[in-house]
This record gives sequence, C-alpha cells and structure tokens, in this order.
Amino acid sequence: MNTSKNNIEYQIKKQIQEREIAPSRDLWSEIESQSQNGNTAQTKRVNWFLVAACLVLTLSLGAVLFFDQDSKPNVQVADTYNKEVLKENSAKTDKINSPEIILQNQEKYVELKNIPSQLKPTTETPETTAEKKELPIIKENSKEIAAQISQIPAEKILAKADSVQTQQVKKKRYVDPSTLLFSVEHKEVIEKTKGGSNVATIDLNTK
Amino acid sequence: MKLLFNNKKEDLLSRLKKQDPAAQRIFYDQSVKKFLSVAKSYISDIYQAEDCLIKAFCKIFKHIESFRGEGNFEGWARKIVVNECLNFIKSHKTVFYLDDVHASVLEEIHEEQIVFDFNAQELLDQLPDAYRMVFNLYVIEEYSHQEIADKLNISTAVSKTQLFRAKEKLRKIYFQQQKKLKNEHL
Repeated sequence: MNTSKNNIEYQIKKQIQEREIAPSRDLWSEIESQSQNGNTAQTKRVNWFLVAACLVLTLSLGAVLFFDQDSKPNVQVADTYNKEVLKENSAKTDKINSPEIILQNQEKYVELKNIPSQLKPTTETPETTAEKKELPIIKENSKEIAAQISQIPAEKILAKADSVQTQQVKKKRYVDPSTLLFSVEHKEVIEKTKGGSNVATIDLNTK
Repeated sequence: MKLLFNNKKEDLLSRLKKQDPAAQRIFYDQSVKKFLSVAKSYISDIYQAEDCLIKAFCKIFKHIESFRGEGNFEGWARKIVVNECLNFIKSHKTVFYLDDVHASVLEEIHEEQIVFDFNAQELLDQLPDAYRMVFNLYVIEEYSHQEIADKLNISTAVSKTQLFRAKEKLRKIYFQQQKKLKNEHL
C-alpha cells in the first residue's frame, strides 16, 4: 500500500479514524431491551427443555406400563393352553364327594408327575391352580363338606387344630357349619387348651 | 498514570465479563461514537448503521467470555462491528463483484498531490458496496487480500480487482469535486 501522506486512501483513513459520529437516537435503550429479550429467550429455552424432558419421562413410563400389561396376557397364554386340562379337572372335581374320586385324582396327579420334563411346567400349573381353586369352593359349600365328612371314613379324617379357623371365624363373626356339625357329633373328643382354643383328639384306629 | 489507566481498563473488562450493566453502559459511552464512524464507513444510511451497531453491541456483551485477552479489547470489539456491517450488506443487498482486471493494470497509480480538503464519507458513499467493502477492509482495517477473500468468500484476485477499481473510482470522484470547487472559487 502506498503510504504517502498525500494520497486519497491515506486521507480517507485518517478522516475516518479521527472522526466520531454521535448517534441520532437512543441506542442504549434498544441495546438494553434486546439483551433483556435475549435473556428471557434463554429462560424460555430452558423451560422448553424441561417440558420436553417431562414429556419423554411420561412417555417412557407409559410405554413401560403398556408393555407390562402386554406381557401379562402372554404369560396367561400358557394357562389358556391348559384350560382343556383344567376343564376336565374341574368337571371331575365337581364330583368330589366320594373318596374314590379323590383317589382317582391322586393317581392322575402321580401320572402327571411322570410326564416328561418338557411338559411338566404346563401340567403342574393347572394342577396347582386347580387345587387353589378347589380350596375355597370346598370351604364355601358347607353342605358338600358336611356330606363329605359323613361319607369319608373316620380313618381318613385328619383332625386339625381349629385355632386358625376360629380366629378367622372371630374376625368374620361367622360360624362354619361344618365345624359346628363336627363339634356336635364329637362332643366327647373336644377339649379346651390353656390358650382357650378347642382341640379335638380323635383316635383314628377306633371305628 | 499509565498503570492506573491500565488497571481501570482491566477492571472494566472483568466487570463486563460479569455482565455488569453499569460497566456495559460505561463501555457503550466510551466507544459508541467511534464504532458508529466505522459502521458509517461501510453503510451510508445512518439508521441502518445504527441498527448494525445495536446488534454489534449486543454481540459484544453476549460473547465477551470468548475474548481471551489476546490483543486489544477495543480492536476485538471493532472487528465485531465490522463483521456485523458486512453481514448486513450481504443479507440486505446484492453485491456484484466485477471481472478480474489484468495483473499488469493493477500497479500503483501515480498519485497526484492532494491539495484540497475533502469529505471522506462523501467519497465512500458514492462507491458501490463491493468496492467500499474491499477498500475499507484493506485501507482502514488493514486486512490482507487473503483475509478479505476469506471474509467475503471471494478469490484474492477479485479482492485486488475490487480495490483497484475502488481507488480508480475514488480518484475520479475526487477530481470531479476538485473541479467543482475550483470553478466555485473562480
């Protein structure tokens, strides 16, 4: 570049570097307002990030719950597969009034146990579920139980402590007719313990 | 005295980095007139130049953390003002860069002695945007042709051509003004 002090470029540079131009309007207020807007925009961005994070969380939770619900029926598919067996079992358990049927069931249970290991989980589950389902039915149908007790020989009757049942009875304020019948029939056998519970001692050898 | 002045500058810079509004106001008051002069050399319209300056100040205050203390802070801020003006011209105006001039022509033109005073802004205002940008970057900001080429996304040859044409145009305008002034004196 020509550094001669008399050329046009040098004169222009000198003039521009030395001059000062006062603004025609209040620039400071505009700078302040723009910088404040920038700050608020930043906070808005942060809020949007929070909203987005919340959405992601809720969606992920929803997805987890949804897939959990989906997975439960999948497990039940195994049950539905065994429903045929269950139906058969339930049809037979309806007739559980005689010791012969119980024996038959026991035999079947033994048979099922002997099935190869691949089928075991499928065969065991209905059995257990059937047992679970059978228990409340027996308890609730007091007439059947009474009949069952009368039909089952005394050798096979297993006397159990009534403490748990009585506690349940106390809670429910309800007397099980089967126990009532039993207590009436075997008055002599029932004894009171120190704890206040009634215990029946039956000699299974005597007829 | 010099030490005190330097300390004051450092103090102002540290306060600016903390986004202290009072420090920002002090810096604005100190530099607004100089920076407006720079902006006006690129953009002839004063309102547009002021708009660019507002944006430039906002950028300076926002990105002050990126100034690492290498060199002069005012020089760093001045670069932001220049860049803002260039961005404004690029976005608001269509800039035409004319064809290359043969290298042999790009030799220093013999300068005639400048006798009369003249208004530099009047001369610059009559230059096309492409000429003015290259002329200002080369002559006032003292950028090299390579730096200008990088900044304006042009080749160095085009940068040299624009400078040559800008100088030629300025000379023409200047001598026309001188003629007018001579005629007025007579």
